[in-house]
Amino acid sequence: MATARTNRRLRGLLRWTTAGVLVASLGAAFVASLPNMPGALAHADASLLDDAAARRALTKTLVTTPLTDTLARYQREASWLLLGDLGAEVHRGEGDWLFLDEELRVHPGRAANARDRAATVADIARALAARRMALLVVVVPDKSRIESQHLGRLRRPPELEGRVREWTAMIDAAKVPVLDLAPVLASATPAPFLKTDTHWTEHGSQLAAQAVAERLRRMQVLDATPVPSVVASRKTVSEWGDLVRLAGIDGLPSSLKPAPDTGWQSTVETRSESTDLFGNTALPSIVLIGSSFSRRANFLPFLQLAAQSLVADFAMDGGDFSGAARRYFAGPAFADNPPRAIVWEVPERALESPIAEAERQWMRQPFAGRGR
Amino acid sequence: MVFASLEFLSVFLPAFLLLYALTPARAKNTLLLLSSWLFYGWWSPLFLLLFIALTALAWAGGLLVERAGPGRRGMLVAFIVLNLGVLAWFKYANIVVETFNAALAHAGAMPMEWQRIALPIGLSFTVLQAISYLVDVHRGKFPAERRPIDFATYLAMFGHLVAGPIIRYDWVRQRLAHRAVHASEFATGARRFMIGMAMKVLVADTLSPVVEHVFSAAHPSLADAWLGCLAYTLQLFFDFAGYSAMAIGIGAMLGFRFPENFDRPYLARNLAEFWRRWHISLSSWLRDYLYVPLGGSRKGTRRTVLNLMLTMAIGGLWHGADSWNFLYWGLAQGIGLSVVHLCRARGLGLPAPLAHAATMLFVMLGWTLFRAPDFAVACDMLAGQFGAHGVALGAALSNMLRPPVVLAYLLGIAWVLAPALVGARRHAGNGGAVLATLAPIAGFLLSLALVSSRGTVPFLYFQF
Repeated sequence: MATARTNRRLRGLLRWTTAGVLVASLGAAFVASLPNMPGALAHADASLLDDAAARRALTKTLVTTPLTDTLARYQREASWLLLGDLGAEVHRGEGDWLFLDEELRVHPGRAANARDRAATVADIARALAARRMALLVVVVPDKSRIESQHLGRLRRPPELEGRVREWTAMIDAAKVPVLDLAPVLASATPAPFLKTDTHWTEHGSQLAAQAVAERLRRMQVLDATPVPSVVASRKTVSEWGDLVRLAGIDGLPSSLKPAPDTGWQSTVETRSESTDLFGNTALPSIVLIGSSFSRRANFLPFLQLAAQSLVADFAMDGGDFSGAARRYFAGPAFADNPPRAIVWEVPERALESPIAEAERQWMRQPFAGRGR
Repeated sequence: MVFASLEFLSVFLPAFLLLYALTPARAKNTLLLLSSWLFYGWWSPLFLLLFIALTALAWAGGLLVERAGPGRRGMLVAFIVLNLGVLAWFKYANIVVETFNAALAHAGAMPMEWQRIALPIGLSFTVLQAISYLVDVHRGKFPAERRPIDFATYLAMFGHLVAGPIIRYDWVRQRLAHRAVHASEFATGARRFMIGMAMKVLVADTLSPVVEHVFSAAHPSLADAWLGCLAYTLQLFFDFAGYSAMAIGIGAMLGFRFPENFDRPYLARNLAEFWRRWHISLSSWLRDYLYVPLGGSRKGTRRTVLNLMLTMAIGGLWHGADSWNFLYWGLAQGIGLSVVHLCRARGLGLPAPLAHAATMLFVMLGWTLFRAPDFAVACDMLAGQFGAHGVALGAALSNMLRPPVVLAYLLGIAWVLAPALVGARRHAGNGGAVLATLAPIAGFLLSLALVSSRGTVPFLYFQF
């Protein structure tokens, strides 16, 4: 009798626990989102009715709270500590070597995407040539291609083996100068890529810059009067790369994270008065458009150093294949100060990735913006 | 808005539950209706107008069918045709025009210009519910609903609005008129909601990238094709059954009792049993409003086979908007059901384990056809499943088999098989009760963290 009563009580308690947890969880999430309400409501107007993207953005503003951020962080950290998993975007190779999933992915329709992008590059090169501007396309190989000995149990899909060769062949066939950095980086020692970052080390960056400068020299597009640059100083740094942040485990104590990358960080000084982009002086005659590779590990200063020439920076973090190009060709800098040569750096992983509608539209008319 | 999204979990549902608790009983339906329309309209405000128009049409249709004298049947047919016409336009216009254009292109003619039509979310479910209501009024099962708000609430209820289960008016009309929320029902609903969310987030969404990859890969190997097919078999069940569980749970929290929509379908030992256990609200709808009116199995073997083929073909078409694969899949199910019917009539059968294996093989090969975006991809995938593209696991899929993905496979398989394995030990004392309480709570909290981590997750069945 007493046991039956105890069982009934226990089951009642358990039922209430379930309901209590649900109400408490939803209540906490609701209370956490309350401070976001005024901001979200301030952006709410009739335009939301036919603008799905605006509705999504508004919703995102509303639900991004310290509570959801904390939950997400705990989930990522627990997944790493318990399962050794770094989420869908980052893979762990051998030891502390991390790799971006994007580099190992085989995209549907990849051949057509690569072909369309090559055709766009050819169209742009022709249009630039008509205006006496040269284009040099530089392909940065995947980290997983160059550092394949550190892949561990990861496997690089065989479908990806020929993608740079096939793409550069298409560019070459259109008589557009193209430089594949794979041979330069493949033989580099020490490692040209960082362990915990998707980008190159300063060593890799400098080797790449030298190869690009050499190619520009052969194309005879560099200024006749050299602009000297020097490595003024160099210090050792030890830090975690973007893949640790992307995996969401950057908040963990050092001992629980993969070991940080150790390398050096240089300060390159260029001795010229014409580097003031916002002053009265004209832009340099070489322009760099590209992805985050162009913005990391001193690539641009190393390029200026190797080319002994000024290079204007129009690269864009997260620009992938065309982000920087779209912005640059539509902007006033291209219209007002057409350069002699454009270096277009492209990461290998972006060659075959799906083409979003905005990029597809731009590919139809790459010079439709202000820079026409 | 989907249930397993932050906007639903952290804003819509808590705000709604709070208001619902504070609202007097007589105004609860109005609150539920307005909230459901907001829920729907957040996706697509323009389609909300269509939804309201369909609701008005069905409500008025019920009254007219009830009042009409000798012309009742004609009026019913007219309203059904109107509803089906709307569904056909939004659902099949694209594929009909594309097929027509493909034929024109084949003949060397210029294709006609066509702007693709978007399919309003939940339209398929709404139309089936409206038709069942009209038919039931015509059959005199219950009087037509006089109160437009109650009727609109029935059709719009956000719990089942966008993805079912397909609720019949008869099942909810008493509780629409009068209901009280009991604490124990709320707790039961909370538990079902938690379980549903864990099913969707922990298993279905975790396996989703594997499915995406395999069904878009050219020439998948035997290992890739079967791992992809297994992932989809689990994803579809956990996504849909999870969503149904969440809908049933929300219904219970509000004082409604929705029927179960799944009953361990992957333990079925023949295809007829599978269809009695899978998407029960759709299967029973097809049975009651299509198969039985066609004559069911009462008019001889040939007619039964024809009725089965017709019912399943229409059921297949109901699922599909973008590919004829759904029709082929429906026909395949019709053939399978006919074979089961004929075997049963002749007293033929297989031993239980073999029958289960054969049923699952048929179901899984069917899912391949169901999931593939077109017939060519389906054939490529099926060829892979029969070893035509090699055997070894591909590099891309191998990289995707991260520990959480492997765990999702294992959890999914264990979840599906558990009822068969545990069986008699279901009522396992207080220890079992504690586990049965703590497991959904842990699953829900982990799902909440995963939803926060992944961002908004889509729901598979919306496309239907």
